[in-house]
Amino acid sequence: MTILPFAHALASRQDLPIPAWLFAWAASIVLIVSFFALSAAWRKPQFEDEHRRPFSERLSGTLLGLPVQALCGAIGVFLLGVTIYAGLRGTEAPDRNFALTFIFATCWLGFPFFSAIFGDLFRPFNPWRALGRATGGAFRAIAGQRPAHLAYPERLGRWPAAVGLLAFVWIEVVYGRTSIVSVDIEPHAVAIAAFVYSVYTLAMMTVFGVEKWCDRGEAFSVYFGMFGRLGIFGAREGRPYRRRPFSAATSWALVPGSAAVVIASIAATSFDGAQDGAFKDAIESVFNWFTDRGLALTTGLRLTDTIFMLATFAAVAAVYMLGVRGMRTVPGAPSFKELRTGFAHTLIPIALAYLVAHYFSFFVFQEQAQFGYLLSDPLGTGHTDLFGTVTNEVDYKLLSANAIWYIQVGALVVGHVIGLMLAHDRSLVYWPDYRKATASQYWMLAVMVAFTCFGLYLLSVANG
Amino acid sequence: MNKRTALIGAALAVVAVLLLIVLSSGGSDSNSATDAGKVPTIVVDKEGHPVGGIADLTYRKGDQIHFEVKVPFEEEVHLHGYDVAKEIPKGGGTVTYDLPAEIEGEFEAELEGHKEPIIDLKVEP
Repeated sequence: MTILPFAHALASRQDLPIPAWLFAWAASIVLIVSFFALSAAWRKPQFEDEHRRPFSERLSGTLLGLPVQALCGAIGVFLLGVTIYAGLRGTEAPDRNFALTFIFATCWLGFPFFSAIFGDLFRPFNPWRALGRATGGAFRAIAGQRPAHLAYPERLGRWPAAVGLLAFVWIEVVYGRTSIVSVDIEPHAVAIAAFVYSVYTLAMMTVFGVEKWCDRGEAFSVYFGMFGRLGIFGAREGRPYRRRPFSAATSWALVPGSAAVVIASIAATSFDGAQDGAFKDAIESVFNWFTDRGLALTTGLRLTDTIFMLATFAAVAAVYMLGVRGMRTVPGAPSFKELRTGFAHTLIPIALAYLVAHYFSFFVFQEQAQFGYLLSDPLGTGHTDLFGTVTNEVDYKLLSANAIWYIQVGALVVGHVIGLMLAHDRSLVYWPDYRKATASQYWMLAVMVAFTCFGLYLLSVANG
Repeated sequence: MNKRTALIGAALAVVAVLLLIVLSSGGSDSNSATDAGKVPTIVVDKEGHPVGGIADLTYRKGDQIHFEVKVPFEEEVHLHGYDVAKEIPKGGGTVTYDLPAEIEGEFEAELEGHKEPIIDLKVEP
């Protein structure tokens, strides 16, 4: 998947579409595995309990103690500062400026990939959380009391994060679009956006509190934290612990708006992949319709892309809601709202699979640039060589087309299986009768198959 | 129930495979640059657009990538991924690319000055 308009501005190599025979095999495996899973799965919930194994007190004290926390926070703040500075003062060439690769490849993809294995890795490095906590600590030291906050309106849940997520993706794939007409994303614009977002986030933290805003409204905390729930490490009440993989995901979606976050993630990746492939002709038709009526090219393209991005979000949401509606028909089903919330976490592995399938090669190639010439010359001026790596080049032979195809398809199939496992497990909570639980899962199976086959389809469609 | 579930799954899988085989049996519509045996030439018009749209060139790994680009003004043609840039002199001219297809993937050749993509080049395994 391939031409990511923004990624395209960075990566010189894009993935080839997966061949038809691989599509066929993968789709078949998905179907066979799904039905096998339904007929052979376990009969008591396995993931509702995290099975925590806490770290020793000494290790806990070290990891969550002030020195390590302050160091991690300082690293996060420093890198945010470098990013904004590089965006404002560095070259406007997207592939030579540290800011773009750091935000859109290293952070945007790196945190989900590694958090899904190890737990939420963004939290200790979150620059806004670090700044908020430092400011709160300074306030306490001076005023002798904790800063007062407004109560967060719980009805909002994680909707602010979902909107923030879509806004970020909009900047990446709509504002930064580089096909049909050239609308290059500029490091300067990204730096301004990062600065504005920082001010907004710090303001919200002041109003609602640092931890509350990180858990509900801060888009990156919520987004990366969502994938972190799949990982094997967590922390609670000052104590890190090891847990059963995927088990922490089961409680993640209980906050309102969580489903919107995971749906936004799937929709964003889908749209990015389809923009210059599956949706290309339709986008061009609407774009031409707008420009024929006098809209400027750039405005017409951004308006068209925005419509398609929102339509993709609506379509992904509709597929999930159909599955939920279907489960409601099984005798003994809880309310629609409860089901909608209760199964949202089962989409997290799908969202992760989409990310891996669509961006894995881009991440591998772009990180060579990140830890090569971009680190040595963050501004891209050509006059700096901080670590002696400025002449390092990206090795595009590192991954063969076959390797990329198998990773893409493998990611979708594995994500599909984990999603099914979580859905089956949750169904046993709502329907203790195993047969009814299985009946309910025909619907979620249809949802998962739809998402996985759509993901395969996007991978198989040639770029325009 | 379990047996029925497995049977439905197997049946659907068979249908899916047959459908996909039928769908994919039409062959590729991509133009193999090596089919015709002559060197493809991409002509750029005065506005900086490729005549006839972005050219699709497809090669197999190990083939020789060979094409020409004719531009009526001073420019730089850049084949990304392979990172080969060639200068078009003032008044225009033609540049020739002739290099082995060593890196698999999809690459773009563009007019650097105009930021205009002119070739979509695929190297298949």
